[in-house]
Amino acid sequence: MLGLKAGLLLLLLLWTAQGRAVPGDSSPAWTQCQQLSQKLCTLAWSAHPQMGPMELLREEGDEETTSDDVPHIQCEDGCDPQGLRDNTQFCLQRIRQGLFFYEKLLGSDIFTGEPALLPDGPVGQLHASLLGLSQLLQPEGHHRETPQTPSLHPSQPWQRRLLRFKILRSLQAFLAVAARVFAHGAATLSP
Amino acid sequence: MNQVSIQWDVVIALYILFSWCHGGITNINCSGHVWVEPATVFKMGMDISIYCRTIKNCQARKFYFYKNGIKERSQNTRINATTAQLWYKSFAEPRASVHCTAECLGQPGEKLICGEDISSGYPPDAPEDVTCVIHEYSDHMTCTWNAGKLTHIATKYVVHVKSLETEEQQQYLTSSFINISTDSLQGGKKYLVWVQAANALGMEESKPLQIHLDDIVIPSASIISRAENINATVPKTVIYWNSLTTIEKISCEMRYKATTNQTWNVRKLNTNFTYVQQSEFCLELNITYIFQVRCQETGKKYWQPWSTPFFHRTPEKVSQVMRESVHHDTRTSGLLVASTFKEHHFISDSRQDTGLLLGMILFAVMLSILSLIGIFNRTLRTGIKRRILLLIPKWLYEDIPNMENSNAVKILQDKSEFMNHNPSEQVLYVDPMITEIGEILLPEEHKPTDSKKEKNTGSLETRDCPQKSLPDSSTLVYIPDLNTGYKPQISRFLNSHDKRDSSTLEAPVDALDLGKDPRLKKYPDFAFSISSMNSLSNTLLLEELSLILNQGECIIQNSVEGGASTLLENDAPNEPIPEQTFLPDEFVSCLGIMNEELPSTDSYFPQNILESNFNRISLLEK
Repeated sequence: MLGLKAGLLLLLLLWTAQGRAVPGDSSPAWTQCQQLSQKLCTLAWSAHPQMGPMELLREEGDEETTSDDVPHIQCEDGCDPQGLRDNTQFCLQRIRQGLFFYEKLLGSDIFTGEPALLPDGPVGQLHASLLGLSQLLQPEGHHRETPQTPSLHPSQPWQRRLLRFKILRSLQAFLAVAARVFAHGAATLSP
Repeated sequence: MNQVSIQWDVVIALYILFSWCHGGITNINCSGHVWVEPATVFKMGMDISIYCRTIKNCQARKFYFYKNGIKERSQNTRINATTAQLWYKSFAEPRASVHCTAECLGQPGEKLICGEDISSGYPPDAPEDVTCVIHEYSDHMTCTWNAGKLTHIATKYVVHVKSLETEEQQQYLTSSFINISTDSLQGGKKYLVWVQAANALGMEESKPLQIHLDDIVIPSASIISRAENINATVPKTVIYWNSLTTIEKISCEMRYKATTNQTWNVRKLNTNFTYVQQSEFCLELNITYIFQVRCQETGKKYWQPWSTPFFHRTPEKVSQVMRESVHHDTRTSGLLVASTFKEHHFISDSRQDTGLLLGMILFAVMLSILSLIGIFNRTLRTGIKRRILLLIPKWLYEDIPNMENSNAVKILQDKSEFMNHNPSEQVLYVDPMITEIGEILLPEEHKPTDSKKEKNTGSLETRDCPQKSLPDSSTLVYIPDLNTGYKPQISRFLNSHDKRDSSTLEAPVDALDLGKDPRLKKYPDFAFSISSMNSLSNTLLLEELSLILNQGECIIQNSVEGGASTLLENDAPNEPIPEQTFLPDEFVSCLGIMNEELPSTDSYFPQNILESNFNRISLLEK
């Protein structure tokens, strides 16, 4: 009986926590986020040449693809100055999703498998820094977000070379926008 | 505002431009087909061809091949409208990734056709020297073999174990060696073992090996523990070694060589591991040797591997009788590093050492027994005393010397008689004048000696400064016991030293207003009323204050009239004042930093962001 009550209480607590659609006014440490996002941009660009002198290739089906499997920062995410002034949480939530997504990709066998990368190279640092920024943005006691996870498939070495290239190019674009958001937040929204 | 919006739109546009390739960020979509002839895995050094064919949505104008992400400069051959071929002569890379792109009519840039991984290597050699052993105290059989040349490609080995008694066969897949649990070998003691090697380029099999489980046991590892140089008539080196084996019939070998030499000297040894083994060698002097040992069960096939190398340096001289023991440290690296402790004994034989030691112990015991008897047996002691008295001269034990026989007395008597006969000589011997006993007044600056007494009566407050200042000076002060009635005697060094001190303490004179005598500064007047210091609060206050005072830095001057204590600092420039630091220096430095202006907390902003913010604000104001 006691266990049942405890279970019900736990469920109630979880429901209450999940009931918060968007966390309140818990704003991140904008300055830290700005610095870390700038570092991430640098790392992403320095990691790119490690993939080899490759060019961006078109693939079959690019034209029809809607690219729903990648978290994008779009206009409706509220990452523009007006949107950030109104409510920063929508934009931050989007950035959190993206960071989680790319962190998973950098830790997958696409980057850890053959051909092996340098263990202390920029990709490793990039992975760790992504995790750091993600934790910096994590609101306390907030469990509602269902992170967007990449769908990973077994890949061959020749595919990994191309995939790494693609992922890093995509990550560079994502981080460029995220860094802009944090720079704006540090300038205008810091207490 | 408009400018901000434009900039934001540019950012979004750039992002969209960057992310145009997001169609399946974890997938590669091929628009054709790539294949390798004769195969993707081929024998190293073969000529190979890589073909690339477009299938859909591309009328290929030109094909490009990439190897490991780098565009191949060699011209590919166009087979037909949809297919191109790249030919490699004697391809010798163990592995490579190849992909192909094409310029398609009416489409920008290059389009990925597809890719392939290629590997080159060798078929496996037939495994040789298949060996299966069971190490003593181990619960598994280890089988190893010589795999032959490197194949460069994935090669698997299958170990076949067939019981010769039950015909039961087991197979174990591995990539190098295999450990087979002895529990799984239930088909008796006789087995047939062979190894099959296979990869994409071929398969080979070893010759079968027949084993008996009792014959493949290798004794527990042998270890050389130490070495000793014995130099009797012919210098010898004794090597001590041991093994934890329980196998009774063991045959061992020890090999040794000079470190500068290439050839080993091997000595066969008869062993019984009940005791630590000793092996004697007659070696050249002043040379470092390496020793290794190995054992096998007598009559069996497999030896232990040679033990870890043991290094030992023989002594330098023959003449010196020396024992040198060497101990080992096997923790560092795989080699034994010998550290030598030389002990020089100038006794020709170790047996003499033992005899001498025993003799000394016996002598000590006998002496102790006799002493005890002498102590506890009174009659014996009395007898000994009498005998001794008889033996020694009488004058030695006389209680009072016999003055009659004293030469000195006789001489004095003679002299007295002589003086009585010459009265003129008495003038020379005048008794000293007896004068009145006067009291010498002690100057005030020397009152600290008296303050010792006062301290006992409650004037604790004043003790810190004067007591601490005294050791600083080299003044010798005799502090008398007041009960004896003697006056204090001042060292002759005191005055001169006080003068020197006073010169260093001139600065605070005016401030203290203590009078003209500069010595008062050093030794303030402690003859103040004790009653004025009886206040407990004052005492506590002064003690607390004294905690933060340094010796020589301060003087607590008590004013009798005011009843208050004044803390004054001695800021004499000539006197070195040690820096009083009650907080660690780090704290102090922190405090220093706190006093400084902190660096600007304003973070860096890209200029355009700042400008855009400023513009937006100005626009809003309008």
